[in-house]
Amino acid sequence: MTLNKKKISRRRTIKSAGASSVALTLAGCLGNGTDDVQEVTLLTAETDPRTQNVFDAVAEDFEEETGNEANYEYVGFEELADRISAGVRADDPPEMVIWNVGQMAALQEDGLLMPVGDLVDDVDVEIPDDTVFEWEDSVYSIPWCRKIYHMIIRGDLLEEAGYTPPDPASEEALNVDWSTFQEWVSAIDEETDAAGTAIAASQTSKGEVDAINWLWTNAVRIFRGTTPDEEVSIDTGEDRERAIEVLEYLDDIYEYSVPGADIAWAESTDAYASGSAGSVIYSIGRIFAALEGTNPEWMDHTIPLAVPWEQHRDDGITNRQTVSQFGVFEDSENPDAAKEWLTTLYNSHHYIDLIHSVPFHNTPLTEELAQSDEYLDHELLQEYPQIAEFYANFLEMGTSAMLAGDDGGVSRRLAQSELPSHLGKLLEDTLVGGDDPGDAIDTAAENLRDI
Amino acid sequence: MSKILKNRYNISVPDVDRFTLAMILPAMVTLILLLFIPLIFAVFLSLSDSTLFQTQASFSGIENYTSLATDDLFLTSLWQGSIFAVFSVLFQVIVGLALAIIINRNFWGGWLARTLAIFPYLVPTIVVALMWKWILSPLNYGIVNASLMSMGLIESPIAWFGSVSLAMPMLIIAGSWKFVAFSVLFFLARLQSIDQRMYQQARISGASRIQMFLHITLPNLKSAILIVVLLRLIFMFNKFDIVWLLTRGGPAESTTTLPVYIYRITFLDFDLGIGSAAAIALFLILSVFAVIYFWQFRPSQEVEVR
Repeated sequence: MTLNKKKISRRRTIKSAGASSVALTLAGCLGNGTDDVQEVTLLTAETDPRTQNVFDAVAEDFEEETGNEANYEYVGFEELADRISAGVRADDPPEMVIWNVGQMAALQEDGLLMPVGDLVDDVDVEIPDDTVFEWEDSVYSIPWCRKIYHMIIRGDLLEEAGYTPPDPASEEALNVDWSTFQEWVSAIDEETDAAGTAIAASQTSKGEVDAINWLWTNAVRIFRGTTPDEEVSIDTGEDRERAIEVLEYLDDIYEYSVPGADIAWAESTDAYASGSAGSVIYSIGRIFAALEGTNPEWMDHTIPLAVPWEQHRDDGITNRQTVSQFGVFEDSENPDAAKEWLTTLYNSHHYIDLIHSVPFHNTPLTEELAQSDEYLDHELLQEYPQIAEFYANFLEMGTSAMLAGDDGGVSRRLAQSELPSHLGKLLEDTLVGGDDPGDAIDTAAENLRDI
Repeated sequence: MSKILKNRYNISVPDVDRFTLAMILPAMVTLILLLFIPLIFAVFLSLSDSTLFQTQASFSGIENYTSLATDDLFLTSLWQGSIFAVFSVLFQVIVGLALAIIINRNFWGGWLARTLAIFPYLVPTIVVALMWKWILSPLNYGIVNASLMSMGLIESPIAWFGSVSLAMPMLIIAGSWKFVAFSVLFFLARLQSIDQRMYQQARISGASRIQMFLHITLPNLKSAILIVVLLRLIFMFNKFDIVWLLTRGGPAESTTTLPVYIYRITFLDFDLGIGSAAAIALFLILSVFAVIYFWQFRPSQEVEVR
């Protein structure tokens, strides 16, 4: 009898558990009545809190206008690829990503992006043709700003060393030649407590930026064309000779640089903001952000310059810019809602707010916008009008190394080189490793062709 | 207690009762899900031409493996990884043993010394890396360079992690600093289990400290040393975080170890196929090493000291 009672009790327990499970499952399936709300996720490495505040404001307006919700996932720049890969493989990519043009090309080579040409045509912001990523006659990303990296020097150290600092708005700031720059950095190195400069001779994205800046500004065409066979040209003809010349020049000024191959983004900022180096390649925006917390009085003495160049600069390509883009994943859950989010951003004041979020780092797409009252209506831009003029002049000077070949198209190989940093390795091998410049150039070219 | 039975094929199998099976089942499932399935998937990827963003890839056979065999950087990273692992373990074992012997003694403040000895092990790797970077930085705030320059020993800052000749030795020291504590703990536990009467008898017999160390301490520590060496070698050969944080495999690839190579190929060059092949190669190398090690040294056997 006792045994039967136990059996009955166990049976009831199991039945109750089963019924509860079914009830809970049904309750979950019924949902909470919000099936119409679409969620879009933006994946980005724009981790500056000021930028995040702008995105939050866009989310509020987006929700008000469409009833949909926006979420943001902030990761480090090098984690973007990993996160996208995980999302794609799990069949759950984010709706949008912010990345550079070459990485967009990498995504579209695997057919992951949605065409957004209609969006580019419809938004209220002027989008220059040379900034969009086009693949087989369709546009697959929408740019929002240029990011220009250039030489920056401390005017007070230059004065201490016995030289007159150039006016940022002047022609002189755009036309520093090698011998002048070498004089400046050697004088800073010898007459002050700071090293003359901090060259990022490192296999990092910073090293890549520095390398492309030095090479491209000195008319070394790393590539000439967009087809795989003709694309890479740094190891051929005049380009190879000029590249060797540039590397030999850099070797000469490297003795005035903070030593070591571990100079990356943070170390470059630290080098300048701590007073360890008198010059560095970066954007004023990031340098100012660092100086605000360390030596704010140096902001008034920070002077932007074009990367020093010699006589060869005659083909209009003068600087290394990248164009930051939004891409929409075709197989995400709500790609159309993502386009609505982008419309909310571009067709409102949030677009200018986004550019203003890191002033002198996020640069307008066009010279016209860079000189407009709307853009210039910002405290920092008004406090440093000569720097604002420098950027406007710089935009006028030439186009982006990342976007121009003889065919005028995107060099996917050059842009995709940023992460493995094949050109940063070129600097590292020659300046730190002591390799022959010619051999190092040949190795870099081979690596670029393998991308 | 489980018995050994013969199944229908006359093969000996353990007689595992249901309770035992139920107890080990969660662990088995976890192992299968988190180890075996990813491993099999990695093998599959290594035989394909997969990239980071592709969801479908073609079978490419052993092409990735032959590519690795002819890749100078892969072979270099194998060699450099071995150097890093061997010298790191040497540092950890020697310093760990010395520290364990010192703090095994009874002295005032011994409890504090024992606590401080394990402190580095508690520090997260990212903090360790930042600490070493800042201490050895060639910039203004690098205290080592500043001290050496103020003493007149050097004229300009040294790039400890940014110099081809210095990066590997400094990486070994910085990477081992945290893990010496692991060795200390192991050795200390073993030292405290050695019968002190052996030392008393040895002293009475007139043995010197060195003789006692060589004939009593070391033999008793043999199994512990062998286990520590095995575990630390495997761990340091697989080490990625401290290498990447301090040098990223540079300068000029002078500190590129196999895990760094795998990371670069997979997440920066986006080549999942070759990255997986390199990861499988790493797994096989360590597996073969572990088998040979156990067969040759038999660390599980206790040493009888007379």
